[in-house]
Amino acid sequence: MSDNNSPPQPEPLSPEARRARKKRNVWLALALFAFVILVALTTVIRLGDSDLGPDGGFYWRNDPESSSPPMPDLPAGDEDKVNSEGDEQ
Amino acid sequence: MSSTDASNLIDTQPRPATAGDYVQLMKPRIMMLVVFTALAGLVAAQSVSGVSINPVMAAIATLAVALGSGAAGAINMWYDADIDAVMKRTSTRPIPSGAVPRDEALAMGLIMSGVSVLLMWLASNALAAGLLALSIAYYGWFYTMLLKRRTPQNIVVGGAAGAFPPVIGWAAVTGTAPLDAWLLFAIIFFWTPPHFWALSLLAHKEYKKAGVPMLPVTHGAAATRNQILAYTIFLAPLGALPVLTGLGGIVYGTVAALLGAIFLALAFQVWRSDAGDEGASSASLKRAKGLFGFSILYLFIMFAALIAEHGFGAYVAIPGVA
Repeated sequence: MSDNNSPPQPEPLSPEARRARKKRNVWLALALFAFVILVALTTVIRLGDSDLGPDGGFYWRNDPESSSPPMPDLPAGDEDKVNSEGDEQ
Repeated sequence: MSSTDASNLIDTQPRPATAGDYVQLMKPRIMMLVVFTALAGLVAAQSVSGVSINPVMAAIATLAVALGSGAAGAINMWYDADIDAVMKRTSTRPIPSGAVPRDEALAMGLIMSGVSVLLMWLASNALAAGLLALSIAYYGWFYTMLLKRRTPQNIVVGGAAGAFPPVIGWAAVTGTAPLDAWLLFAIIFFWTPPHFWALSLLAHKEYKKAGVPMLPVTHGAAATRNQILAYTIFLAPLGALPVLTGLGGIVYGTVAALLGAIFLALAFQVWRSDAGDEGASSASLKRAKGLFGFSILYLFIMFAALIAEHGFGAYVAIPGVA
């Protein structure tokens, strides 16, 4: 009794079709490699354009003196209150 | 020929695909024009705004535009494979000739769309990437799937897809799309109808056979010639408009005036001819062919003038203009 549930077998490729498929695969691999290179290149350039030094704070600010924004002007009469309560910011 | 016959044509005599077939899927001639106009937008934006873009990023952004154009072309060929098989001019394309399976063309188009938008975003900004995504969807879906087989105004509305590249190029540099960029958009938008209708006067029997409602098929050749002339009358002064905003200098202004006048003269000759009519003379067909060929040259030279002015220091402002 034959097995009717066996999956259909693909037709064997001709040598010409096999060569063409191999060539296509090489082109696909090259395209993928080029894509990876381009993504890496854009990342490197973007990081290079960003200021990653201690004052730049690309990921964190570790120099609060230079990077904290200036204090806003307080309404008249509130200066004493702030000073008496310590460093309220 | 019925659509069933057409699908039989697609499936008969498959042959192994070459790299050239995949290049053909991307419609390289359209891609060249798209890349060139995007480059003009990119170069002009740097000169006008004073904002510069890293040259490597500019090259990657230009590549992204090329990939996006190729992606839209592949999606178009996937959807139009049945009518391509019917028309002689397009029957040798990769899908109807049996070299590339339809599904493979669709997959290629979709993957390239994603890659191109991602690369554009990485190389420039969200606005340029969004405009690129919009233009791919506009051509691949709105024009190809909704307009092309439904209305004779297909290439008028669909012309916007090909008009986006200079705006994308401009946005890639500045992150904005100002009036100057939209002027370049308008020039390509109003250039598209006379360009395509000149071709359709020559190939209207093929379009009729495939059931594509191009203007000469639905309204006749005389109406098409009228429309070609009307659009050219509008395009000629529009082409010179960048001079008024200061985007175009003396070189661009001279080129726009000269080429606009030649375009008008050729459109007038076609208008007076019987091109597209039954039994049209060979001289008339030659005129339509000449107009089609010149229209390509027109766009190339106009945008080349912009690149010369803003990229190679040929810009000399016209005295008394913005």
